[in-house]
Amino acid sequence: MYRHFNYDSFRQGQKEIISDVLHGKDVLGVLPTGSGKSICYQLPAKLVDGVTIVVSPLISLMIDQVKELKAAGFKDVIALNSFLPFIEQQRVLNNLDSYRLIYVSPEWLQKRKHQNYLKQLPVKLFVVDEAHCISQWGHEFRPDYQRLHEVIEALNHPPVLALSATATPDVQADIIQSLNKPAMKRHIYPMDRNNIAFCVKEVDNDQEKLERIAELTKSYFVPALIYFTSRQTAEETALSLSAKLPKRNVAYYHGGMEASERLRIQQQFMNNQIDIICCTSAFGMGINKPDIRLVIHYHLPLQIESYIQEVGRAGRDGESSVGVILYHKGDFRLSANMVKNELPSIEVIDQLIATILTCQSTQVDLPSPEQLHILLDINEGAARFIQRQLQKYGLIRDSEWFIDEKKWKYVREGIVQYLEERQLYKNDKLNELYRWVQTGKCLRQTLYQPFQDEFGEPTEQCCSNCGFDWNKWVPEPLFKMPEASSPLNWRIKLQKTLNMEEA
Amino acid sequence: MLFQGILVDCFQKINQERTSSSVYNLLIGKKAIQTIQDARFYHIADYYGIYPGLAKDDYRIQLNQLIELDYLREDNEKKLQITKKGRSWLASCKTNLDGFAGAKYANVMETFKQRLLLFIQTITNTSKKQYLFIPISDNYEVEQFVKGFYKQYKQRSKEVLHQLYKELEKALSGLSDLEASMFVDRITSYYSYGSSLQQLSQDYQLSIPDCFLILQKGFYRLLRVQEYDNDYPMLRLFTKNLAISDTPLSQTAQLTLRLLQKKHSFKEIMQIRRLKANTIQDHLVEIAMHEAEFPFFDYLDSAIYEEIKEVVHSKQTYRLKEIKNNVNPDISYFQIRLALVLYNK
Ligand SMILES: [Zn+2]
Repeated sequence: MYRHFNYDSFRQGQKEIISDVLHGKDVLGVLPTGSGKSICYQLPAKLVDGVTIVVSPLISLMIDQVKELKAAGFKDVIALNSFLPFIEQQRVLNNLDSYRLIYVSPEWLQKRKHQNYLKQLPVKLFVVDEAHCISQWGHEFRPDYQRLHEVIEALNHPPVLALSATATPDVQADIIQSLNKPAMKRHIYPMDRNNIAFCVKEVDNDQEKLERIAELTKSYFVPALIYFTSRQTAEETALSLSAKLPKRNVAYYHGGMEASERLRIQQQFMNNQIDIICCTSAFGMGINKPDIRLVIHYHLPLQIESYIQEVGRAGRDGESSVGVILYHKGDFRLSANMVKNELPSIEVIDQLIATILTCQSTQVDLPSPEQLHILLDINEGAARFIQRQLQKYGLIRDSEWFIDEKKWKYVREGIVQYLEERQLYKNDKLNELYRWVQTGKCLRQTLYQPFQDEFGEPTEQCCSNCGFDWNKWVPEPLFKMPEASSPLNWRIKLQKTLNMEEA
Repeated sequence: MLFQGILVDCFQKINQERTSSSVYNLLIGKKAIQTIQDARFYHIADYYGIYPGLAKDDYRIQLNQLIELDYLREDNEKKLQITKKGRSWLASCKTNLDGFAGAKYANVMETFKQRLLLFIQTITNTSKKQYLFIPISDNYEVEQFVKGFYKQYKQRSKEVLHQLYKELEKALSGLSDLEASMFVDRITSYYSYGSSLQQLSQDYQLSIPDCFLILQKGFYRLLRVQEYDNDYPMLRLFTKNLAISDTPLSQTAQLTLRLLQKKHSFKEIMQIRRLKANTIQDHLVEIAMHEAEFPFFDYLDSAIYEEIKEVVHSKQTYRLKEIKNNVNPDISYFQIRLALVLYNK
């Protein structure tokens, strides 16, 4: 273990899962966030004589993991997804047998041509990461995941390892059923993190949120994440915080930034060059900083599972950490609006179909289905939803449109019904989250209840409903004062940069 | 300020003869004949491709600000013109605008930059026995280059770092302290992970485009000194196998050039390439700009050339339409364009 990954011991669950995987069993592993899920397949990938395929839903996460593995000396690893430039992809596909660990996106995997490449390989392990995406009742449902069983069959049933950090018993059953592996061995571990205390605070307005955050970050010199749902608010808050806290290094991070700039921020955070990051949910996937002490939510996500994941980035080293939620009465409406915009309205879909039909009858060139967002002014998630639905009913096949009026009439009702179902489901999830925030009962127990029956004792304080006292929370300060630097000193900085300080 | 200065400078130089999107194309380094030609004619080639990632929206926002500040004004044809206020403002910040060499290093810049930065990250980490780090660049070619380079020098890392310091220190001394300091902050090494543009913008209280352009200026300076001065052997190694030339001929024009060199006629080239006359003419203009030797007088006789030259002088314009209206109707746009290339040679 140490030899491969510089870890000195297994964490809870890893050993059991890895041992079953190495014995060729099909395994479902549910491990809490921050428990090193990826080791469960990275280590077997090193050890088995053959290829490991990992299906991962987020391309950015996939790319980060490949970078980290390469940095750690695991070189024969590659990420395949539709963003790979064509020439690069051809180069990789022609040398596919030189890789041990292959990450693929579910979309990429759907193409018959791609499957044929994989069929040539001695696949010894098929990993479904973030397996809750299989389930309609999982919060990040990805329809492509529901067709994975076909791929597994095409690959002649290699051992399957499905992993998730957030799967309720219902979702677990869905995963096993969808993968068509009833004999799958389950390794389910409790989600609760006993070193994180929860602290909910109702405020009157956004201004008060900012003041509260400034207070907290002023008194605690520890690495902190502050979550937002709006990129703009994240940016603005970062700027006003750094004005209020000249001694702290504050940055922002969101999906709208260029990849290389994002990487800089991530790495500086790892290096303790930055201590406070104002971010959206785009941050944190694949981040392995062990000593984050504070996770503050300026905005809440849209369901409990996401909250558990985000707050779970705190205290991975087991030291006492706090999750703070700041909310006010207006927040719910903001969230409800976001939920609404995540799905397209049926009017939008009608309009799209009408446009396509007109284009077809007048022989105008259509953009490909992957680019249907060009035809409509909708967000990516909604566009993806439409794509998948049309695919499901055969109105899009192999990246081509197959639409006529009759077909559309035939499938429209089904889509309307499904839309309503999804909308209701998402609203339920949102209500569940806000019920939790406003509960008078123990926050820890209410949060984890859907996932497990028993709870560990908190190592320190429990939650604001059980009586949380900031005075009793004294984490070790991690930051030195930054050195004052003036442009006049650039030569000294350059010497340090080039390791010449001893000269 | 720097970005705005560059914009105002461009609009002053093109003198309402081009649209605002032609300046945008210039800054992002569009490989279109028109853009390359504009860069030459209006003496703004130094700005060619200095801001490849510039978003069209950000560009518009800046222009609107300049209009609001009354440095630029929109004329009837929606073309931007510099105002009196803009002129005097530009004069006051003139010195800052020097130091770019966009067209000259258009092929080289990005790769040079990435090679240098990735090498510094690699050698500073490994010389501290730190072999695990996430590379700042994942461009395959750059990675291969740095790998090879690193293998060659890893035994002498101390010496290499010393030499790099000497060269960077000397080169950056030619910039202002602020510019040099920003450049150093951007470098990722063992000691620290380089600042993002947002951070530089905060630290130096300058806009993000200004920070980006100041960094670019630093790299142009490195490219220039290594080319003209023998004190920079190390930096010169990072330009290895990169053709420093003006913006390259497009692939399609290269093919036409090859046919031309084989003495095929215009008609034959059209037939062989199955392209329209217009397209081949575009190629010829492009070739005329690039090649030292071009048979201008196969396409226009000296009388025509003199006539066009005359109009350029009397009307003080490079605008094709205006020239066309003032010369013999038999003279084609193609001939005017060639004449302009010749005139600027
Ligand atoms: Zn409690």
